[in-house]
Amino acid sequence: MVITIFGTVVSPGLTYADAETVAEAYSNKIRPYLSKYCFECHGPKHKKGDLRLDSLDPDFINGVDADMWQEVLDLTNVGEMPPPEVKQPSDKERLTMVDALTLALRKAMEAKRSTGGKNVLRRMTAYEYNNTLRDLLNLDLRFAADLPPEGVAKEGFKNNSRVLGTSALHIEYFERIARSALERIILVPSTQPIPYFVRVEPEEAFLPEDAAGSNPANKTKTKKTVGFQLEKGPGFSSGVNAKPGVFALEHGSRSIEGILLAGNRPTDRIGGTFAAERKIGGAKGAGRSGWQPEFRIEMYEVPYDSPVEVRIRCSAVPGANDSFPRLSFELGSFRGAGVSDQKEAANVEVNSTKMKTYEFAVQGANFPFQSNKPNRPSYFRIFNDYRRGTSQLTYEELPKLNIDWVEITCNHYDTWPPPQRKAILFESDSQANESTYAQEVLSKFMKRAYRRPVTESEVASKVALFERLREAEPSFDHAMVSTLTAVLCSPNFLLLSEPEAKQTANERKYEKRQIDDYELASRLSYFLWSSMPDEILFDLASAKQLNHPEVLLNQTRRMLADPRSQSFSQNFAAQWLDLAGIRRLAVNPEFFKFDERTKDLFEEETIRFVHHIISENLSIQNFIDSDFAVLNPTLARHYRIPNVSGGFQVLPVNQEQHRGGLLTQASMLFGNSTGAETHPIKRGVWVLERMLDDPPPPPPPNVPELPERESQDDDLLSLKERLVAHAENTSCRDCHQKIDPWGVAFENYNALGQWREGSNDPLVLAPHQKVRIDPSTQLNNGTKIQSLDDLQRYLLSEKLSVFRRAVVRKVMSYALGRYLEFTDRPTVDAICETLENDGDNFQTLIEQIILSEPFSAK
Amino acid sequence: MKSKSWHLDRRMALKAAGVSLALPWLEGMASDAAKLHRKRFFAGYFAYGVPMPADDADDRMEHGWFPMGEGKSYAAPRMHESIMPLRDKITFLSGLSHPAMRRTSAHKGADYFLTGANLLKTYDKQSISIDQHLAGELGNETRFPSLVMSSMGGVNRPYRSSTLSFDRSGRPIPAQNKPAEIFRRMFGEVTQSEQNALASRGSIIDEILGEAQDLNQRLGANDKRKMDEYLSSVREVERMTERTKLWQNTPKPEVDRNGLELDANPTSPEEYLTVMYNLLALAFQTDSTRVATFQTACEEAGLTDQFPSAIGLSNSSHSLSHEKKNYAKVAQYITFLNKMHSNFLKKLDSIQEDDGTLLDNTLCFYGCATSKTHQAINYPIILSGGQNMGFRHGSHLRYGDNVPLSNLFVTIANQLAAPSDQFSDSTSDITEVLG
Repeated sequence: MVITIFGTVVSPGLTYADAETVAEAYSNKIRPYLSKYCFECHGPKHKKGDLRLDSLDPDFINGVDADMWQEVLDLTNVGEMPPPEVKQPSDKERLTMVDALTLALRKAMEAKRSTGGKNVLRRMTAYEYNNTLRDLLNLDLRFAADLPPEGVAKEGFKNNSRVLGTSALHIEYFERIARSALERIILVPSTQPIPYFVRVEPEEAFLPEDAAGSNPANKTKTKKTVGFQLEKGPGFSSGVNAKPGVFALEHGSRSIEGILLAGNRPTDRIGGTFAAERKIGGAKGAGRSGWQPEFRIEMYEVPYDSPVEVRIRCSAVPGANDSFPRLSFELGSFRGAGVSDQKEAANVEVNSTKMKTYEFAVQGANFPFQSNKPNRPSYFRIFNDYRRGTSQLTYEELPKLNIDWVEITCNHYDTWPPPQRKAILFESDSQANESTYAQEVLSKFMKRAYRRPVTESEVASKVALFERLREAEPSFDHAMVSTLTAVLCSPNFLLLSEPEAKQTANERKYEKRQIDDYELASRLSYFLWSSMPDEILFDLASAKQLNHPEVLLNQTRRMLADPRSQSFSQNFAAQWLDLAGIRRLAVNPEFFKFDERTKDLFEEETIRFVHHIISENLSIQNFIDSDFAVLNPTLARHYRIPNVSGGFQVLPVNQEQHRGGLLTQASMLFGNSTGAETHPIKRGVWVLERMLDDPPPPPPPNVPELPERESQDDDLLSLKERLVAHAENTSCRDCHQKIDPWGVAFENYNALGQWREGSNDPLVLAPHQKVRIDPSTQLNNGTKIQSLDDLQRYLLSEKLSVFRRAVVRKVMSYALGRYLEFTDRPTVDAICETLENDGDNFQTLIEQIILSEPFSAK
Repeated sequence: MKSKSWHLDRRMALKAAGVSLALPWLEGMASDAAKLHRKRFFAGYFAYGVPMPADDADDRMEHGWFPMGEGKSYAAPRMHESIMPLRDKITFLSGLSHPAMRRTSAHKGADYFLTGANLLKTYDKQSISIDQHLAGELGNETRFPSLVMSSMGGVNRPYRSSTLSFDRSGRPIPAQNKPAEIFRRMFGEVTQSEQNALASRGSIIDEILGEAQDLNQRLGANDKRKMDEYLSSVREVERMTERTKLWQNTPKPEVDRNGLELDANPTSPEEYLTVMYNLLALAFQTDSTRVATFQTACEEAGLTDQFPSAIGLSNSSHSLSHEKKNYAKVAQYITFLNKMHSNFLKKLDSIQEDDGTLLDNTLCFYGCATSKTHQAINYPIILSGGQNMGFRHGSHLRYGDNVPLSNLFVTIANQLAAPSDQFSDSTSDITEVLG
């Protein structure tokens, strides 16, 4: 394992806006230094290495020597220049020059990418494209799965116009995806496909003598597996398989109505609070089978690519402390011996003791529901997802799910043709005249697709296209699929643009202007939903009612309360906090026994945490420290928090549990480790970048390396000491004093984010358990920090305004889809002030951004 | 299906190569003349450079990349064992590099490996890559002008490119990374939906280009730049459509997907690299394209950085590349990559065409844009195949650190396409590779 030491020396506290101008910096700090230490060799006399620094272009922004200046900075930074045989600058002189040059180069970079503080048109991101098609077509499929992976912005967000490229391959896929979605909707057979129907009364699996007594839990609870062959119903095709399917029940017990499912097996004794869940058999560790009782229906030759309706009649048998079971089901298929693939489709708490019917509608295509061989079944499984977790609950105390019956219908359509088709090809008196009808269809569809009113000529042009296509296409429907495909490949659909009104060439000017109500509706919906506006927003825009502060506030609150706002929590959190870091890193198996699926939970914890703060309108200070955590039993086990059972939940946490805020979550702690050991530099940079919006510049080339920790020798150095020992270069040390302490304070959290103290980490595998844990550190300004608690307190007191500004800037940059610029500063200042006076509530922050001038200006 | 004996022989040979194929149209449609002298080009890239123990170090031959000695009598280090059966068909090159990027802080190699562009000043001002230059000519006779692949897919971002290929305007061409999608595009059955799409695509493109022009007139300068990207992409799809139309009556080659692990992904590196290389071989073999690039890994943290797990190493390939003393592990890893590459070459060499093996008709250029730990000079390069285009092998050619790699590109361009005396920042050509 090798650790790169960042050899930079810019003070993280400085931002260019506070600093002098580039020209002043050059003449006051940079040139005098160069003149004193460099020109002798790299000047008119010697031109060593063919390089003259006295004639380098001091225009960092438009000049031709920007790259040479970077080189000058790098070599000065690592102390290679001036070479040891000549006169040396003092540390202070070097630091002053390097700070000035770093800021000048950063300012030049920002100037180069400036858009004058205006939004630039951009393509939808892949996830926005997916959501937009979902809402436009009312069809919930994973449309964007095959699009080329989106570029990854090192800084800024994925929705930043600058990083969103469009290639021929994109257009090829946009056309393909649109056409196949439209064909699926429009080119449906005239008669409704035969439904594939399965109904299971689970008690039929039991012999009559198993019938329940008064206490159903006592009956047959240790029975391992029961089941029966499904009858061939009218829905089963007469395919190659004689058996239509099988019902199997593992570790369920008989109840009066049907069967009872607990979250854990009756025999699954607790092996100690934090012992791993038992795994028996199951599918290569990928499924949940093994430790959880399971209700499974195996089916052959299902129409996997169809709407699936699932109806489950069940009730709750509450457990200890008024706990209720969780109904979870998944669709999947067996891929081979011991290998299965599945995805959860629903997970809801069942809190009624009376029998109720729960109905779910899902798209089979979104699940690995297709069998890969005719003799391998697709399957449907129910679990009670209330898990014992780290609690001491006995089997009897666990809440049970009482299942009366289950019905599964593939090819499920309430009406035929399906509503998606009728939404596009609605009934009309003009249907007899193809062109007139096409005109009506297109007017309605294009308005929603383009997210604005469409002109007559725009529609006429598409009708003409339809007529041209119709000459060759076999039917109205076919020609309409092709015409609507054109609409979905149009720049007016794919690009989020805010064009000017049509102007003649000589009056063309592009002054800053207020955007119109439709443009505002799109900005709102892509900000909060990552998707197109809904009917309510369209109606307000159409009535020109949207751009009023009180309307905007009401709409913002409505939109945040809508489930679609989860897209904001997910996409904003993932990009702001760099949750992709979790996937970039592999856990070193020499250091940890680790279940890869826990990585999903690291991500989910953070997204749910952020969403909780938004939806409950809590203070953004909770990001730094909170008195609650969002955990499920598996995460609780990971963090060693006892007495957590059930599913995901918001839990109060106390000081001893060392959890609260983003800084204590595994997503950050693991994502900024080496996968084996902690990495204070990465963690420090993360705090500076993500929490304080003050990223240190990247390290110069060929900086010294930090070697791997020597094995368990006696004079084991702590990582902190190794950092110091290897930053021998003065300028490296200067800089690392500004980065490392932020990361050192996290030393009580191992690479997986688990708490550790003293000189031994028992959660790490031998022989790597011996460590010297010392989170005490001193920030560059002299503040002494003893632990992460200290650092959190410091951030929430001394650094609160910096942190607040950072969050405002991050959310605003995401809201606008561009980098913030100098011209945005007054807005940021004003929002920060409002936020401070308003308890730092997250919704206030979002509302203030939406009410701000840049949000409605183009 | 025909059952002539030569057909059977061919399939036997293919089966031995791990895939089963039937190619009714190739033999039937191509004239004898057209089947001769097909010129193909492959460029492959691996990340982070190679171990370079000192020449007098004990482990020089055990762990080093570069051969000892020059000319025909060179001795190849152990990591090249897998390729040495092809000794007569490969050339080792050392010393070459792209001058403009010699002082770069590395990791940017994939951006300029095939373009030679000077990105230090401009960050993203690219120029055409050699493969796309060649595709301009070699790409006209096949269903696809080129095949662009990488393990990460897409384009990522400037300085950390996940594609080797850049078009005439310097725009990155997104790389494909999903074996199943690559297979579908090249060999998948043409569905009714795709036929419908092709029939209407011309009209659709006209329509959306018209819309785009309208929109363009109402945009400011910043917007226009983004709009240009959209416009030129649509125009390229238009060109592709014309090509596809020419091909629509020619059935796609029938390729048996059994034996291809199309579900493989970079979490299982050996399976994944194998299927990607197999798809490349199939693409050439079926004459679906004559130009292909494959960036085996991106020089950025991510799944491809964990490829050493294929041989049981827990280190990332980046951290391995920083090793300065004990080269055992990094050598073991590069040995693995070399084996993947040489398996590909051997596969090409096992496929007979009318005028030699597929390898004889394919010039393969493989290497990296850094040598030892982040030094952007002295690229490790293996040139192989292409004898029928005049290339002669069997040597280690050593050049000084001041020779531009683009000089080699000039020679390649001259042998494979129309004569030219310049590519990027070339100063001459390199005729030694022609024997």
